[in-house]
Amino acid sequence: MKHENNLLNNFFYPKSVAIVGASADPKKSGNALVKNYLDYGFKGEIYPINPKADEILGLKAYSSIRTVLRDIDLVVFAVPAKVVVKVIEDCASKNVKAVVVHSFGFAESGPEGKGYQDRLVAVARESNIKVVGPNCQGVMCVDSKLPWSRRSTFPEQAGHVSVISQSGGGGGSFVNLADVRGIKFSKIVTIGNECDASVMDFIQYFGDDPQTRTLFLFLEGFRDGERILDVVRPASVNMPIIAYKTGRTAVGAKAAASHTGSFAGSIEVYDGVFKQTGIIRAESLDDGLDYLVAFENLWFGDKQIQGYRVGIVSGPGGPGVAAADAMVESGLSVPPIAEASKQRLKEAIPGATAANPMDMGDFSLVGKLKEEGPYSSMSRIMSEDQNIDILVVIGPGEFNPEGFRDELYNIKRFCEKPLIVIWPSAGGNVETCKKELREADFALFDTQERGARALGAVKRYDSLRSRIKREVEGA
Amino acid sequence: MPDMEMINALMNKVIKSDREILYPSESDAVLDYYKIPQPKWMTTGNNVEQAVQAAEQIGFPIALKLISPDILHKSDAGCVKLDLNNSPEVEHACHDILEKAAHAHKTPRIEGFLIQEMVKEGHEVIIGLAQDVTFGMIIVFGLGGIFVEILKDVAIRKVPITPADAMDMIEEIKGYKILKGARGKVVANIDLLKDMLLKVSQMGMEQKQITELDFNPVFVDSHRALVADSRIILKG
Repeated sequence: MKHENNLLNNFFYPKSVAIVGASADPKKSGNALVKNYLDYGFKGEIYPINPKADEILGLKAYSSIRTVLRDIDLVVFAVPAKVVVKVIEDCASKNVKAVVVHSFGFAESGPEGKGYQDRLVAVARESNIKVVGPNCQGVMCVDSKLPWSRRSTFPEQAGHVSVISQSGGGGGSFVNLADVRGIKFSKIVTIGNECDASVMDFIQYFGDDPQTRTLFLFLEGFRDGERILDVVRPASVNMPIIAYKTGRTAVGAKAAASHTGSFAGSIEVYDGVFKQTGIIRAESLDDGLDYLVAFENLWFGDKQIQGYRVGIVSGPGGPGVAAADAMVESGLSVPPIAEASKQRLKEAIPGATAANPMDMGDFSLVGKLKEEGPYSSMSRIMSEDQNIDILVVIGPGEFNPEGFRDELYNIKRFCEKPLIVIWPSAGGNVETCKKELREADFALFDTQERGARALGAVKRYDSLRSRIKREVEGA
Repeated sequence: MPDMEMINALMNKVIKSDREILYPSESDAVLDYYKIPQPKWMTTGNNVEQAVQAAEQIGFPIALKLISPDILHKSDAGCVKLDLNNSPEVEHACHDILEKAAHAHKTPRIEGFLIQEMVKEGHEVIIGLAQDVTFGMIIVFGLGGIFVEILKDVAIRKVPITPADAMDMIEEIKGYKILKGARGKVVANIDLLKDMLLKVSQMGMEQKQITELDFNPVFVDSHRALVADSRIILKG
């Protein structure tokens, strides 16, 4: 099946959207929803549905789905559950392909809501309508300028990271945090009650989506975990999948008659199955953000990763040693440099430490950072060393951050190997420079440990991917 | 050799008889079908004399176990005796086990005794299957004893596993170095372990009635891997 023909495509690239519960009253959420489509500049037709209004925010309003005489690809619901189950019948007769149900009051609320949800699913299945939700924040697509509900800011520039979140709030705050780290998104879907389209369905969709190259899961659990080997193994050959799993401590502890049985339902099962399918688990949200930076800027960076031997370059000695420790602890190697490199360094900076990690020796040189300064000299020698695959540059404390930034731009121009910047400093001009570097797609981390863990995650993915690729292609 | 039809019939019979756990002779047929090796063993009825004869036939030392559907944790109940070296020891152990069984359960059904060749060499590992609420049938591997029970040092995958998955599972546990012969211990035959993991995975795929399975312990040394005790539990 071609990707464009995947039914889930209608959630992201609908040619027309009907908004059920659209309102002319600026105080109502149904008004903000329509306004979001207009403000974001949605590239398609918008049909506000409201039996009592003629016009909403300058758009012609329709009394019902049935009175819209054109095709409707996507219907968005912001009305109570008991109204949703009536209007879904109209959607069926109008041949609608996809619906997003923001409304709550379904299965999460009790038996009555469960009845509404069952009704919704029954009609949708019968009419081949895909449903996202209910009880969710919906879908966002930066390409088609399809806005997320209940938010007022949307990314302008499309990127290549897509997100599946079961929690609307959790997904939302994650996107804000990632935005500050310079991550650019393609698509975001919040699943809510997952009554129809599942996390697994969307993993499959994103695995074939040409715009998505990295997938982030804000995951509570899988509803259809039985499918994971068939769906996720091929998907993770196509894209790195990072999962932040919540509910780790709510172990399904049941009395088991065997030792093996006592492990069922535990987080260890997720860990094992993630390894089996190539999913990289982020143990914390911080890790998740760092991993995204590493995948976006290193795995998909402009220089291909050829190996995982790192060469560390630092101003002062201590932070370089700390970086070496962190790298080794994360499964990377920090090999000695070649004799020739040592000679070159002695000629370039006589007092420098000619080893890996490499440092300036005389720290007053930091005052002399400029476009082709000491960091550039050391980086040139380190990155040209045959024992080194990845260059790691450690930023100085507080002196001359602009000088360091300029050196980094220079290093990025000549360095033919992947580059990681670790800048364990903060405040004032350092922050300004960091922001600028993040926007320029540097793989930038605040501490040695975070940078090392992120690079370790890339290495893990690389090796899992090679193995799964062999098996998937061999099968 | 048992065939698939026979295994299915056996499983159905157990389920119909309202029993969840397989008897040793039934487990034996399942293991045979999957070509999973075990130490030499025999079963007898609830008859001490027969148990002694069986022990003599297998050759000492032997292990002696009670067969009873009412006592699941046989070792904990004192219904397993290891390393018995002669006939009087076996006779004494039989009486002792019957006494212990009476303490463990009000009215235990006593099916008889299992007499097994005593395997002491090599490492003890655990291989098992279980039903996970999210992923369905999972396979578990770990080193026996405290490693699994206290340290939770296990590798888990969803079935079916590939040969590379099996290798990953073995290498993943912290105890891997011990299997490789750390501190002068015998070097475990990793290929045989891999092979057994793949067979258990296949069993997990084919025998949908199994809800839990424990091979504990499996003894492995440089040239053999034997399932010394198996517990196969079906859906109730």
